[in-house]
Amino acid sequence: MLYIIQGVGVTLQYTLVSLVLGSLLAILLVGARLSPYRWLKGLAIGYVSVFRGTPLLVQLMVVHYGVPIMLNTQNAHSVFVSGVLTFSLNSAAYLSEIIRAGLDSIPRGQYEACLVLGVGPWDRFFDILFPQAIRNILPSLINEMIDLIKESALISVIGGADIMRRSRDIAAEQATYFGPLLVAAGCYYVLVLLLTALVRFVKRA
Amino acid sequence: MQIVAVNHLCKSFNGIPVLKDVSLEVQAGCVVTLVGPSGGGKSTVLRCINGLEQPDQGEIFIEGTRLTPKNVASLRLRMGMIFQHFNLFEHLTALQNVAYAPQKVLGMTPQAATARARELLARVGIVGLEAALPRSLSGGQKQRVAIARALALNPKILLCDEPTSALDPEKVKEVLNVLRSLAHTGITIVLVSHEMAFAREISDTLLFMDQGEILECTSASAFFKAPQHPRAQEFLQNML
Ligand SMILES: Nc1ncnc2c1ncn2[C@@H]1O[C@H](COP(=O)(O)OP(=O)(O)OP(=O)(O)O)[C@@H](O)[C@H]1O
Ligand SMILES: [Mg+2]
Repeated sequence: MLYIIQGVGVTLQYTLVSLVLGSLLAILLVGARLSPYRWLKGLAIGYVSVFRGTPLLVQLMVVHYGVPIMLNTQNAHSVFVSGVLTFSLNSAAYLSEIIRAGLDSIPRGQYEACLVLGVGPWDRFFDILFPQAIRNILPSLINEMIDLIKESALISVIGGADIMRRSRDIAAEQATYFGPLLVAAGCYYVLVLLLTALVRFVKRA
Repeated sequence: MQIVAVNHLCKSFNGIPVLKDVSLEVQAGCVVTLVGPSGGGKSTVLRCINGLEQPDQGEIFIEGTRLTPKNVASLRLRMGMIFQHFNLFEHLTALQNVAYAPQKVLGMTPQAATARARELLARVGIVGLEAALPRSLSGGQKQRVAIARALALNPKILLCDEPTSALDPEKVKEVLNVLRSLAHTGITIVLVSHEMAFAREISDTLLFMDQGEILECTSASAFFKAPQHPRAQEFLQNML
């Protein structure tokens, strides 16, 4: 049982790294989406559409098995790299929509004040718009993290030693599924409950 | 010298003409006020002058330079804008609101920008509230901080779009006093206002605008004594 619970660390590792990388990519996507260049805008829209419109499991398989073949490399990249890469790419699509909605909630006057004062696009985003949007964004951001924690169970399919994988290892060893999987479910549930409490706290603050 | 020249400006929103061949000139150091009924296009003229809106036709010259999408960012720095709803940065203190642009845009050191911000806030009568966030200021205080913020970039022209329309009546005066103290000190002011007594007092030139056209352009005293256009006469009657 302890073995399964230790998987929490692995699951969180996948989730947090993906969330950070995904956020960075999401900011670039939002920038592209709001840019005056048609092709950049189209690229961002297409990206979000594809990653939201296909199953995460398929994306994971493509990245882990498909890409190495396509690049014709012998050694497949590690499970961790594949997992984090897929989850980052995938959550970036969702996060970019969250950030965009957060920015949309900022009155247009804030943007115009920046223009009038000559504040450039970079400072405008990081100093003025984003800090105000973050209050609206944070709850959705934590919700995205909750989704990511649950979805990260898919990593067990390609061999990541997360909560899910460990519980299945134990299940195979002991030839009983119910107990180990119940422990796994419990682990996920506790994580989600903690984050749900955090959402409530953030919303009130 | 003409500091702003607007030639034959036309602008439509969704096919509806809002500006129909608008031309005007502003002499450096003067106060020019646009008055007229709601929806007449006054705000749109101001917004075209500093490039927040793109005209469909016509041209705008700032100190002799033609405004284009390419040079709008640099020409804008010569113009400060005061909005009806202040548009202060809500997450920054009064002092930070004023110090931000000099630091980021003019490259001043934080110390120099802050010192200058304090000085400007004092000039508009905001003392002791430097650390306050906009949400804890009254409307009149917010607008005065916004004026200080606009002045921080040393603009030659101040565009003011109904600076007192969102204020409680008792707060109007404090903002008008600040504007009065700025008028005829070298800075050029283009004002949109419904404060007729104030417009009459500080304006050199008065423009009456209705339905996308400038119908009258005279000295303030002439306008209030004897408006020529029937719609201007009607407007004044309703205002007074
Ligand atoms: N962004 C926009 N999109 C569509 N229509 C607009 C837009 N901005 C202004 N208009 C329309 O243009 C017309 C002129 O608007 P403008 O704001 O310039 O008038 P105004 O003289 O400033 O009026 P007010 O005294 O009410 O501020 C109005 O009919 C308005 O509805
Ligand atoms: Mg207006």
